[in-house]
Amino acid sequence: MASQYKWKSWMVLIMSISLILTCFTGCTQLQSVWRGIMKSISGNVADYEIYEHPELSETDTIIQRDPNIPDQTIIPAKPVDLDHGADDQDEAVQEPDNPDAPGESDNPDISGQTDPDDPSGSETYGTLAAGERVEDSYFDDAVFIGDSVSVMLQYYTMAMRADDPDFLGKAQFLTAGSFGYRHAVSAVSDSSIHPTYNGQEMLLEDAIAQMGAKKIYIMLGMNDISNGNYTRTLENVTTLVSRILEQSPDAKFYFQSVTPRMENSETSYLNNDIISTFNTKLAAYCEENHYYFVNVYEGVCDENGDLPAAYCGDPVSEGGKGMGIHFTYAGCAAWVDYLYTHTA
Amino acid sequence: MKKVYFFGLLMLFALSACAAPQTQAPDVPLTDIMDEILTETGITGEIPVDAENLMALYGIASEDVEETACCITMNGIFPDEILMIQAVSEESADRVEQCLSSRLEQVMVQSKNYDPESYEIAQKCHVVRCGQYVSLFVSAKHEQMNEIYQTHFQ
Repeated sequence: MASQYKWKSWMVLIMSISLILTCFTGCTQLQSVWRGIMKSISGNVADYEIYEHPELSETDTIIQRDPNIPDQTIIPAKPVDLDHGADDQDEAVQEPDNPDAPGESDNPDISGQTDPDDPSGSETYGTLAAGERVEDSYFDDAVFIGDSVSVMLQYYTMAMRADDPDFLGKAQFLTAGSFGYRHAVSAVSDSSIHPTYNGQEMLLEDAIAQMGAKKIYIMLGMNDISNGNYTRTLENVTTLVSRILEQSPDAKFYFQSVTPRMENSETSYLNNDIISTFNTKLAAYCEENHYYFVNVYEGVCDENGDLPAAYCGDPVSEGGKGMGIHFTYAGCAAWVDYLYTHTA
Repeated sequence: MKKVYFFGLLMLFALSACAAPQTQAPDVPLTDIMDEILTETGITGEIPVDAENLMALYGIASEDVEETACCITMNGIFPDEILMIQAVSEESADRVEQCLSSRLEQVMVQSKNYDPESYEIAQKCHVVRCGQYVSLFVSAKHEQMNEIYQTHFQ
C-alpha cells in the first residue's frame, strides 16, 4: 500500500513539473501533447493558438499561428476599374481554365444590359447606376443578408431608427458573423452558422419566406473567396438563389459587392485585389442571370481602393488585433447613402 | 467519533449558509445598473435594444418581459452585448434564459473559427439567473459587469 501511494505521488509530481515546463517554456510541441491529454479528459480545449482563418474554405489547410512571426503579407491594393473588368491572369489568383464556370469571362462588359424578355427595355440588370434618392418606403419589403460586416449595418440601422423609425423603411436583417455562401447552402445544425429569425436559426430561404421579403439584398463572399475561391463561391450563389426562388418566386436579387479592407490589413489570401476580382465576376454573373449588382465597394473606398480609416471600426493594431473590414457609424452612413441612390 | 460527527454537522450548516439563495430582486432598477456598468467599464456608443429588437435578435417575446436594460456596441469584430432582463414569471424567465443561452452558443460557434480572442471571451461568459432576473454579458469586460450586477442582488 505504501509503495502504491509512493508511485502515485511520483506520477503527480512528474506531471506537475511537465505542466509548469509547458506553461513557462512555451514549447509548442509539449503544449500539443498536454492539450491532447487534457482534451481526452475534459473533451474541450480552447485551440486559440491554432485555428482556421475565417476566410479559408473547408478544403484549405489550417494555418498554425506563431505570434512571433507576422502573419500578414502586405500587398499594395490597386484600384480596380470595374467598368473594364479585372485581370484574371494575376499570379496570386490564378484558377484552372473552366469555360463552364459562371462568371469566368475575361473583361466582362458589366454595364447594364436590357432583358431580352422585356422588349420595352424597361428592366436593366447588372450594375446599378446612380439615380434619384428613393423614399424610405422603398426598403419596406427588403431584407439585408450578410456576414459580420452586415451585422454592423443592422446595428447601425437599429441606432438610427431610435430617432427616425422610417430609416431604411421596414427593412429586416438576416446576418451572422463569419457567414458565407458555403454556410448558407449547408444544413442547420448545432455547429452550423446561419442567421436567426426571431431568435431561431434557420435557412435563408425559410426565413425569407416567413418574412415575405421581396427585395433580397445579399452581401456575402468575404468568408468564401480567400485564395481566389471564386468558382465554388459562384456555384453556391446559384444554389442559394434557386432555393430562395422555390419558396419566394417573386423575389428580386440585389447582390452587394464585397467591401474593401483597410490599408495594411490585407493578407496574401484575402486582399482588395481578390475582393475586386470577385466583385467583377459577381457583377457579370448578375448581368447574365438578370439580377442587380450594387457596387457598394465604390461607395465606401478611398482613392486607393481601400476602406478609409474613418469608416473602419477594427483597424489592425500593432498587437495584430482587428481585421480592417468592419464599419463604423460613418462607414455605415456612406453605405446606406449608396443604397438609397442605387436602386431599381 | 463524536468529534467527527460534530465537525461534519458544523460543516453541513456552514455550507447550507453559503448556499442560501441571494436576494431575488436588485436594489435599484435595471436601467440604473446599466448606467453604472457603462460608467465603470468606460463603454460608450451603446445602442439600446428595445422590445422589437429583443425579438428580432434573441427571440425574446415582449409578453415575457417585465423590465429590460439591454444594449449592444459596435466595437471591434464582435460587438459587446449587455443584456439584463426581468421576466414576468418563472416560466417566462425559463424562456428568456433559453434564448440568451442560444445566443451565447451562436456567438461561440461564429467566433470559434473567426476570431480566437472573441471565442476565448465567449467561452468564459455565461447566462446568470436570479429568480426572474436573467442576464448575459458578452464582452471582454464581462467579469467586471457581472460583479457590478451581482452587487445589486446582495
